[in-house]
Amino acid sequence: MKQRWFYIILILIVIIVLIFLLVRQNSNSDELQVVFFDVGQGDSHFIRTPGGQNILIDGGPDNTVLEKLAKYIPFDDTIDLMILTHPHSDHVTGLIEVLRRYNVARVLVTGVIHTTDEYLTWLDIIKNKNIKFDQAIAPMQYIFESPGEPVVLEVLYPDRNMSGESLADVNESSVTVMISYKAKKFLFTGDISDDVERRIISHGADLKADVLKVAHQGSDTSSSQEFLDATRPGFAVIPVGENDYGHPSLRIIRRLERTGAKILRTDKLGDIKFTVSKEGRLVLEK
Amino acid sequence: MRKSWIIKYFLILFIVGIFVRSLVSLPLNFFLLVVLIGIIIAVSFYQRQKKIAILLLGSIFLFLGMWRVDSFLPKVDENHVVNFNGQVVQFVGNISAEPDIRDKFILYQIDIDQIGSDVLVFGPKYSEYKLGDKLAMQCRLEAPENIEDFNYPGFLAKEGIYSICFSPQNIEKIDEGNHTIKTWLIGQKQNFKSIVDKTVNWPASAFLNSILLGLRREVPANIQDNFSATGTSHLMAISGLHIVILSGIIFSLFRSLGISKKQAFVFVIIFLIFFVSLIGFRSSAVRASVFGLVGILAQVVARPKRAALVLLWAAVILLLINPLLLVYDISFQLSFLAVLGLIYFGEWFKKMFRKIPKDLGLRDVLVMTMSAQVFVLPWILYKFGTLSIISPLANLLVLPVMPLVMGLGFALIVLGLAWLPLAQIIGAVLWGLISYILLINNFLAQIPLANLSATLPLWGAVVIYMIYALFIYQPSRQIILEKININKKSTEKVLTKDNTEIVTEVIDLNKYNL
Repeated sequence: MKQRWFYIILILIVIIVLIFLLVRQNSNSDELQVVFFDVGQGDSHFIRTPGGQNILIDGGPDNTVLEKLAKYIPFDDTIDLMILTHPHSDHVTGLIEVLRRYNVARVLVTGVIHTTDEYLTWLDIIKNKNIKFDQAIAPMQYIFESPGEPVVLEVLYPDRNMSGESLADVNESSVTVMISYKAKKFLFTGDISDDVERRIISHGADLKADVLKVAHQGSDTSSSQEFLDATRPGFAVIPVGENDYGHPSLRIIRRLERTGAKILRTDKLGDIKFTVSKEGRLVLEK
Repeated sequence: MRKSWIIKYFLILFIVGIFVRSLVSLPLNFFLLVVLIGIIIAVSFYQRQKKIAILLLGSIFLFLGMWRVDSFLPKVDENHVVNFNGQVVQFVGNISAEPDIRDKFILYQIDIDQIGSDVLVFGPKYSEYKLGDKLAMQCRLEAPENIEDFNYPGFLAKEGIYSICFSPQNIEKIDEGNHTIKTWLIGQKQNFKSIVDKTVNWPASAFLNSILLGLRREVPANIQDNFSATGTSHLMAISGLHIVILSGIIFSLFRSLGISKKQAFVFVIIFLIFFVSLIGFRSSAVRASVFGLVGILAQVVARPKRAALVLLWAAVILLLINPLLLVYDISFQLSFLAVLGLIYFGEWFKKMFRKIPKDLGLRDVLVMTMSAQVFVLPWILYKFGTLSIISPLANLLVLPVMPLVMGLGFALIVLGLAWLPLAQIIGAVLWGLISYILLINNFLAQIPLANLSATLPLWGAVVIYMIYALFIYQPSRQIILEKININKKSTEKVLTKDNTEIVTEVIDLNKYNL
């Protein structure tokens, strides 16, 4: 009787180990996944390249991001690139626990001065863990090797070295990046204001995007008409939760609709996931 | 009157003394006089009327209970921290207890240098000071106030805290704390936590940290709500109940390996020491394991009266150390009641569940939780006023997995110290198991009317406990047979398959003066 138990448990262990190894090996799909996490009032976006690399942009206001990462990459403990657009707590807080739990290979950050406990703790962990620290200055590019065609991540802003600078409004320092794969483009804007939008346009880069992450939870201080004209997004994603700021602004929603974008809100839809197949087809997953 | 009865009577009077003095302030000097007169009368009576004499002598213990509360309460002189409540002060002090990390802030208990008493500081969430650090800060001290029905001042007073600081200004770390065994253990605890965090996915990792390391605050609020809705919160807390069940599982595990009761008991003690040091010797955990040990002892001696005496002793010793626990610490009350349930209802539930297989200690776990829960329930209804109807179902679905989760959890930490990738495999299994627990709870919590609010008034709870008492003191044949077994070892026994003893010899009951 006892021996039979022993064998059953032994076989179970072997099966579990095999499944675990198998899942780890085969978790690469050959498509690009872009997920806008529903983390309440705040930003957190996740990109998994066809080559199996993980990019995390911002972490939201609490630990919800951990739950989301567990859902999309349950057996992977590496973040290849972590981007902090700017140090406000609704962007940085979730990243603290991500740093503690995952192997983060490198971070991309502006280095702007901000003295909240969350941001200082985040910086502290990066220092203690000796994580590679990249200064975001446009123009710069990351190329993620993938089967077929590489995924390109292009930094559009900040356009100068902001390290050690203290700004009246750190939203103005938001790292803005464009990710492209098979001619499909995703634009991530952090919390940039319309002033910064005009600056980015003035640099003359091609801003046409298939999917636009609407800046600053759809606040009416961002998403100017000129910027929307330059980006002409097919989809406009607004990551937003319950808040007292009146986000997203009704005026901005109208403006986006007039531009012809389909509006997707995380407070209405939960996580919003796009895939780009190896044939270059953009799919919004339901 | 038997000797054990006298001792029980004295111990109970001591507790009553603490109870009375915790609620009302009494002129102790006058009371002492009454007691002295009582003693003189008692001594003069001793030769003729022993019973009355002993009854009167009990007043000494009543007095001692009251006196213990009095001596525990602080002397409020001009240097006491209470005098500074309502003022902005600048002070320096050491963190004197393990920082309590909450959702939005961290609670630091700081022992102020200048006046030598403690103040509770609500520190910012990402300020990470450690036990023993010396801090300087400026702060407006305030006296704690009731939060709705909750007696917050009393709750804090039992920890020796009479002042709170809600918004500390200019916190500055002056000095690193000394390295003591306690700070080392708490440092280790952080190591263990990071092993769990790196190998188990969120929020399963938070659950595991809560049950292994006592870090309950980390568990997201919605999950905590689910657990309380399904009546399974006790699984997440390092409570007496939790430790009783845990010890019971280990006990029956060793027993099923053919180890004697005494040796299995020693293993339980070793395990509890390991477990409590893992948590960092937090006093609530130490108290819980004292009750856990008594619960197991009840299983070992299997004689309710003796076990009850041990429980009384344990309670009295804990109350000697901190008398305010009795009235202001719900965890103390619940642990005490849970063990009482084990002692008196255990046998009855064992009979009820005799059809349930013994494999993996399933039956024992069920018996222990049910007997403890039934005893605790009226008090929970009185204190919290919620009744979870699906609680038995939820416990039945979740409990069998718990021993496995705990066992694998310990293995995970040990392996994680050796080689992290190996721990990751166990972490994946744990993630699956805990996700099952969380899913079950999430599902059951959605059921409408799963969680009724049913407030029980104090007298209602008392009436129910009276009924329990009647049930307990019903003289039954089983108890008589058990006594004979112990008194007369030569009696023949037939052992049935599930180890219940049947006495075959016909016994002259009159011989035994029952």
